[in-house]
Parts: sequence; C-alpha cells; structure tokens
Amino acid sequence: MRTKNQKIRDFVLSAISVIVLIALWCAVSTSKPDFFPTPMATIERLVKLFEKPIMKVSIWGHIFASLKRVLFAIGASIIIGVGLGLIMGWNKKVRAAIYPIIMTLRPIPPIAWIPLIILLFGVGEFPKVLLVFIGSVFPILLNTISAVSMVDDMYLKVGKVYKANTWQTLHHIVFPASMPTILAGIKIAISSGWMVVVAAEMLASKSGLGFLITRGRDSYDVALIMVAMILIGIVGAALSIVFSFIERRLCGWMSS
Amino acid sequence: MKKVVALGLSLALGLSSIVWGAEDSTVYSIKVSGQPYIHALASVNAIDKGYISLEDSEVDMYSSGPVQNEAIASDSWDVGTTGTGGAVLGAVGYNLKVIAYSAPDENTTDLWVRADSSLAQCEQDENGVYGTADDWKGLTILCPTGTSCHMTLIGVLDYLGLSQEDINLIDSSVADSYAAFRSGTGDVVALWSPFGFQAEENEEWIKVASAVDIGLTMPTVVVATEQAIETNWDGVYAYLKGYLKSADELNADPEGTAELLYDFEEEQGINMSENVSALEVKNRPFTSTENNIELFTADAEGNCKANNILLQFAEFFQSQGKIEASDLTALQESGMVDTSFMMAIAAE
Amino acid sequence: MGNQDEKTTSKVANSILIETAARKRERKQLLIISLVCIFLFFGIWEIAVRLNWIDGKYLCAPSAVIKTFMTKLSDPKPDGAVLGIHIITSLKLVLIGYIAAIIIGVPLGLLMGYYHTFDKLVSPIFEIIRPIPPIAWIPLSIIWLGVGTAAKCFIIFLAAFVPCVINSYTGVKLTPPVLVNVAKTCGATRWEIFSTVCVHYAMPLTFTGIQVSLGNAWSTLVASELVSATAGLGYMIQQGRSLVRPDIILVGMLTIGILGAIFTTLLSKLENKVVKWRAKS
Repeated sequence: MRTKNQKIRDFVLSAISVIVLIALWCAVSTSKPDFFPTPMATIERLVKLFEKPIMKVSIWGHIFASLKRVLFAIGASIIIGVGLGLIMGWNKKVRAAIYPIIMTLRPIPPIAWIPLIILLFGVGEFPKVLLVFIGSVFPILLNTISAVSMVDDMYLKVGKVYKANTWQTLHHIVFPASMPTILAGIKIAISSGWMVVVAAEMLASKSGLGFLITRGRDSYDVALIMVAMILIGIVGAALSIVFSFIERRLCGWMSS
Repeated sequence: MKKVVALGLSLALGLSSIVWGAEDSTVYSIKVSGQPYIHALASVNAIDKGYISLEDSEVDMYSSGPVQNEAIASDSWDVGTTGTGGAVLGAVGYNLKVIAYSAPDENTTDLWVRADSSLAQCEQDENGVYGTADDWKGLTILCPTGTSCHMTLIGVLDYLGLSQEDINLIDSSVADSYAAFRSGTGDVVALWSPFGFQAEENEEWIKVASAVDIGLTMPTVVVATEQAIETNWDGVYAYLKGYLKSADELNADPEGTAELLYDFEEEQGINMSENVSALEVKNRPFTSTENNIELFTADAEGNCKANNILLQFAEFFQSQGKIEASDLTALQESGMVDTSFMMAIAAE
Repeated sequence: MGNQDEKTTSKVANSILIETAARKRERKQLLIISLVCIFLFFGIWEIAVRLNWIDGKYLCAPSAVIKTFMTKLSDPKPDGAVLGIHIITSLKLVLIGYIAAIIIGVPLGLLMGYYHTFDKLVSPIFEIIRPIPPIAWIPLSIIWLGVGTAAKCFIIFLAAFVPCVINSYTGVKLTPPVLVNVAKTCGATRWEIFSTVCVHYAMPLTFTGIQVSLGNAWSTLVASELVSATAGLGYMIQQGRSLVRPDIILVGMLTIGILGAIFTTLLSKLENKVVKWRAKS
C-alpha cells in the first residue's frame, strides 16, 4: 500500500513532468513559431475552428465523422470477427478452408490497402469504413479463434454430460469462456481502427480529424495541424478509456 | 432554423432568377466538384448567384487532382475544375474530358531559391531566368513529379540545355516542399500558387525562373466525366454556361473577387492572407468565354488549340514514364477535349 | 497371465496405430480443403476480372499481378525504380527507425519499470504522446526535419517505440518480489538488482515487445513514405494509386506482406534462441 505521502509525491512528480513539457513547448515555439505553434496560437486556432467551420462542418462534426466511421467498422468487425472466429475455432474443416486465406491477407498492413480500396470504391464513406474494418477485424478474429480452441476441455465435457447441443455449447460455454480474450482483441482493434481512420482521412477525405491535419499540411497552417493532432490524441485516449470501462462491466465476473 | 434559412435563400434565389428572367429555370442533377483553389471559385459563384440551379448545390471539394479523380469511381461527381495533371491522369484512368479552360497557372508556377543562394547572385537573362547551365548543374530541387511544376522544371532545364539527370530531384508535394525548403532541405523549390505568393510575402526567397519565362502555357481546366457527357449533355452544358458567365463576371471585378476568394479559402480552412488572395486574382484571371471559344474552335484539320496544349502535357507525362505509350496514342487519337459545349456556346 | 499382458499391449498399440492413421487421414483431408479453398479464392478472383464482373481498370487478375511482379524486377517504369531498389530503400528506413526505437525504447521502459521517480516523471509525457497515431505526425515531422530520410525514420521510430517501452516496463514490474528480496538479502545494490534480476526477468516480455515493434514499424512504412520519396514500397503503392495502376499497387502490397511475414518468422526464431531459458522454466 502506498502511503498518503507517497501519493502526494507521485502527483507532484507527474505535475512537474507536465509543467516541464508545457514550458518546453513554450520555449521552443516562441523561438520558432513557424515550426512549432505556441500554445496560445494553438488555442486561438481551436477557438477559430469553433467560430469558422471548415468545409461547413463544425469541429464537432469532424470529430463525429471520424468516430462514426470507426464505430461502424468496429461494430462490423465484432459481428463478423467474433461470429466467424467462433465457427472457425469450433469447426476444423471451416478453419482449414478459411484460415490460409486470412493468413495470406493478414501480413498486409491496413494502410497499404488504402490505395487499392480507394481505386475500387472511390472516396465516399463506404471505402473508409471498409478500411477501418480491414484494420480491426484481424485482431478480433484471431483472438476469437485462439480463445475458442483454448477453452478448457473440462467445461466442454460438463456440457456433454448435460447433453448440450452445439448451439448451446457455443452460446453458454465457449462464448463466455472466450470473452476475456475476445475483449482483448477488440481493444487492439479499436486502437488500430483509430489509426487507420486517421490515415484514410489524411489520404482522401472531406471531413474528419485526419482531414483537418491534411488541410493544415496543404496550407502550411501549423496551428491547425497541432489542434488536429491533440484532438486525435484525446479522442483516441477517450475511446480506449470507454472501452476499458465496458470491458470491466462485461468481464467483472472474471475478477470476482 | 437552418432549413428555414435555406428555404429563404433558395426562395430569394428563385425570385431573383425570375426577376432577371433570362436565367434557365430548369433544376439540373449535375454534381460539381473542385479543389479549394481559385478555379473552383467560379463554380461556387455560379451556383450562389443562381446562374445554374442544381439539385445538389454543394460543390464537392477534394484536396488534390488524384483524389478528385478517384471519386469518379463511386460516381461522386459529373463536372468540375482541376489542374492539368489531374486532367491528363483523369483522361487516362477515368475517361475525363476537358470542356473549357479556367484560370491559368503559368504566371504562378515558378522555381525559387533562398536569398543567400549562389543562383540568386547570378545574372538574369532576357527572359528572366537566373544563371546558366553551369550554375544549375548539381543542384538539389524539390518538385512534385508528374505535375505542372515538374513540367516547368523540365522546361527550364531544357531551356538551359540541361536534363533531369543533371540535377538532384526530390519528389515532394508543393505544400511539403514549401515546409521542407524552409527547414533547410534542397537548393531550389518549385512552387505553384498560392505558395509562390506566400513565399513572396513571408520569406526572403527569390524567383529564379517561371513557366511564363520559357513560354509555357499552363491552364487549369473545366472537366466533365464521359458518363455525364453521354447521359446528361444538357446538364453539363448548363453548368458550363453558368461557369463561364460567373468567370467573366469575376474577371470584371478583381477587388470583389479577391474578397470572395478570401472568404472561400477561409471557409475551406485554407490559410490565405487578404494580400495573397488579391495577388492571386490579379495574376490568374479566368479564361474568358471569348478566349475559350477561340481555344476550342477546331482548325481545318480538326485540331483545336486547347487539345494541342493538353496533348503536350500528355506527351510530357509519357516521356516521364507516368503513362504508357499506348495511353498517349489513345489520347492523341480520341483527343482530350470535348469541343461540343464551347461550340454550342459560340453558336448562341 | 503373461499372455494376457501381451494381448493388452498389442491392443493398445493397435488402437494407437488406428488413432494416428485416423489423424493422418483427417490432416490430409484438412490440407486438401485448405488447398482447394486457396485455389478457389484466386480462381474466382481471376475469373471475376476476366469476365469483367469487376472493372479491370480498378482491380487486376492475380495472373496480371504475377506478370507485373516479374517485369518490375527489371523495369523501373512507371514508378521510377525497379522492385529491388524499392525493397532496399524501404528496408533501410524501417531498420533505422526500428533500431533507434529499440535502443531508446527498451532502456527507457526498463528504467521506468524499476525507478519509481523516473517513472512518474516520464510516463505522463509518454501517455500524452502515445494515443496519437504515428501517421498524424507526418506534417510536423516534415516541418521539423524536411522531406528526407530523417522524417520518414522518425515516423517509423514513433510506431516502433511504444511497444518497446510498454513491454519492457511491464516486464520489470512483473518481477516477483521474492527474487528482488533474495538479491537484497545477499547484499546487492539497487543497480545490481536492476541489472541482474529485473532486466533478466523482463527479457521474454521485452522480446515480445520488440517483435510487436517490428510489425508496427513495417506496417507504418507505407505511411512514412507518404513523406516525399523517389523509391520505396510505400511510394510505389502511392504511385500506383495516382497513375491508376492496380497491378503496381498489388505488387507493392504483396511484397510488403511477404517481407513482413518473413521478418516475423525470423524474429520468432531468434527469440527462441535468445530467451532459451524461458522454455525451460
């Protein structure tokens, strides 16, 4: 147990570190404001973003555009990844059929898919959701497969004793037992998905936080780049915090 | 609330067009695209002023020509404005046709050096190009390949009696080049507007050569997809008519246009000072209806100037290995322009 | 008695034989399914393009990919360099960024894991920077470092850095207190405990981090080459995009995929050699 004093000490240390970071930011940016926007310039740009929307989309609109793409894609990844993963983990033949194809596609990084997907489907919403899906489905799928194939044999035997049919076994035994590993996969998927959406928006988009970065890059607007990066960081962190909360709610039984 | 305002606006627009009476009151289902630069301003202005009524009055803005072209795959637009690079690659990859010229690029596509560069100390020749072949040899030059910047660079090198092998080329987009050049990369940077004006305003850089110095013509262009031309000729025609009317009107009032451009760039989130937007308007007047008719009128052999200029770009792209020889032949045979629209406008 | 014993033994042996035979048959069957499906996958793709179900302009057949792959070995058109040059250029970038990430990230993570004060000082900064994807750093890194190798390596470095730090940090944190206490009892100094006990204990997890890092570094390659380039696999893909050449894009994707898979295999082989003792424990 940490004592109160130690807690205070930790807090002071963390505070010092953040203060040093901000001081460093101030020092570097005042000497070279064109290379690094000052904190003031960054805040001003953020305020201006609220007053003057870019492409008639407010700042909330840009955040929402990115979030919407990620959430849709993650939703699809969960449905397909977990569903397919359960079947593949359960049935060896299905696994033999699909696994090699997945293993061929998996080493290709999601960002490398961007040009092909854009060529095939243009620059609308669907290709972006599809890209995030590609970036997020593999961790979920692979975690589900390995979770299912590692379910304790004893649980399955208990199921057999109670004459559970396949659906019941999957639903009541395999799925709950695989839950923690699946959730870990989803967690990886969310951070990977967030990265892909930023990349996709940077490369071809008219809205979203990644688009704001590109806009700043195209017109040498360093403050806008900074604002967009900070927002990307905040939203990314918020996504993983929210998910950790959900994870704890869903898997509370694990610790208790 | 927004809807009420929109309704009010559209009513007002409708009324104004009735008052003027001459406007075409048909609402066309044509989707307009553009890039957040001056050539798109005439599209936006034409729609705002009601020179053309569209089902979807939003102009789709893309950050570059290639992205704009890619959007064709999902049928996102029918007509729009783009640069010559976008037009050539669009013609090869997506059967895009050029239907008119927009604001020119040749005054604003240039090569720059820092003030302390040895090239800046050199003499200018009668065309305004600094230095001689020896001064240029071995320099490191930041330039996006396969663009009008690249064509200008090759043109300047050729003018000096050099080729691309004599210099060090760093392939990088104009925005990135600008940033990188500031941080010390390279000896020469190729810029197009509005970066050239920004350099003039904020940096101590010197323009050592420009497309106009070596006699290049560099239009930006109005394009239409093949599908739109085939299935909705009237719509494309109505758009072009509105565009040209708007362009002529913008040319007539540079000060007002500079203000419009400033507001437009601000709305697009592009950082452009009032001064730069005034310079932009001054140096890049839209190609007038009259000039467009001349450019798109075929001579005895069936060639028009507009097509010939664009084919030079296509040849350049082929010489750079960006498009295949077979693609170039196809473009030479079919032509990169569709003159039917300018002809119809001329006939009116 | 003896007779009966022999009987049971042969029975067991028989059943084992039957079992392995059944397994063999099953394995063979599964292998056939796998092969058939892979063939079906590429076959349908090929047919779909040949019969124009998919526009050949935007997706080319697998046979065309192989053909382009072969020509790209010696033909620099249309993206300006042969495949070999692209691969070498990319490898160089990834290696520099990756090695820098290991050299800086691993010691940082280990120290943060052991020295509490250091941890509290550094981790807030780390946590602020961590959620920003490496690709989002591109514009700033261009402004700071120009468009040369440095900016690209920086992007790859950022991608590879995070898992190095986190895993070595966690590795030290998970050192059983018993080990530390034993060392303390034997009179080891703080530095000795750190360098002998904790670092050793953290090695397997650190190695996993290094492996994850490689994956991250390699998959960020395409992003890093969005910073101006004249060669590199990511650049090749981008060129394929703007020139509308799906075959070039697919050759690039394929090469990146294959090389990525090779690295992962090599590194896990290396891991087994370096952290042998884990297998024993």
